[in-house]
Amino acid sequence: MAKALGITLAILFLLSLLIALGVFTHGLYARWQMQRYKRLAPPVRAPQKPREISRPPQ
Amino acid sequence: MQFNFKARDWHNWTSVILAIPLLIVGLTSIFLAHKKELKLNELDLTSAVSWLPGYGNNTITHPRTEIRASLMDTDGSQWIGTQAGLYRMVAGRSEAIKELGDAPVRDLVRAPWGLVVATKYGIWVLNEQGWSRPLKGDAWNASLGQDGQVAVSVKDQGLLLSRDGLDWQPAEGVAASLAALPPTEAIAERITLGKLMIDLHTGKAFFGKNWEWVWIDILGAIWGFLGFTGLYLWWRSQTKRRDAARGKLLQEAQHG
Repeated sequence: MAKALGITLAILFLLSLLIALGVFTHGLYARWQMQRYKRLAPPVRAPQKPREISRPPQ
Repeated sequence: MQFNFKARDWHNWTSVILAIPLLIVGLTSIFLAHKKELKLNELDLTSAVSWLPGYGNNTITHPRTEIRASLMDTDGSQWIGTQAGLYRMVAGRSEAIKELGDAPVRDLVRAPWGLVVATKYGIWVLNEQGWSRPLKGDAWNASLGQDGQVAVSVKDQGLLLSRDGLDWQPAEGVAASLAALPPTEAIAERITLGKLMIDLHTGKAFFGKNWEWVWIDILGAIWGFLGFTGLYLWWRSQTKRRDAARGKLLQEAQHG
């Protein structure tokens, strides 16, 4: 009984580790995809400041 | 040159990389606290886990060379007890005793009626009928008395005596006389700094030996919980940022 419980818990532990690894890998993949989308997007131009008109000294 | 140290980025990435080891250490500590109750050491996983880097061939075969006991026998041969099995040396050649497998040998005694081997997995006896294991248990030390009796100390069973190697009986009065010692003669446990550090780590200092599992279970579960939630939060932020970047790209493509 105790041995079976130990085996069950060990299997659950391994499963949780596999899930954690899967989540980690998927997170890395999502990050890679995000960077790819950003590279494909045209560069956003920064809004230009209004030019200051230089006035001759009075 | 400008040194741009982004503390939040470093913190985030270190946390993400540590999440898996955190899970392993946290959850395995719960198993360690209940190792005996769950009988984890009765499961042999040698072949299943030998691929792990720490279990290379050298590590697995190493205990064979760790000699723990030896006995010069009357026929000129020599018995060698190792951390992984018993061996008999005849004319410089060693021969493994298959019956004992990889049992760690603690002591060897030659009695008039046969050979007694105290091992971690029990007491083995070689007599005219061959090898047998009359008693299971964690045997530590064996000695021969003048009357031909052999005494073996076994964990949780105390001192056991046998006149034939097959029937093992507890040595009467030994445990009782030790327990009857007045408290002044009993040796108090010494708490060194090293032991205090171990006890603070395991929780024994707070809960005692019998209840230290409470400390280990709570901390292990919290570590596991933090590992999982941290990983999930990081995963969610990454997928959301990806979705936002994809949405923006599609929007810009539609507007030309």
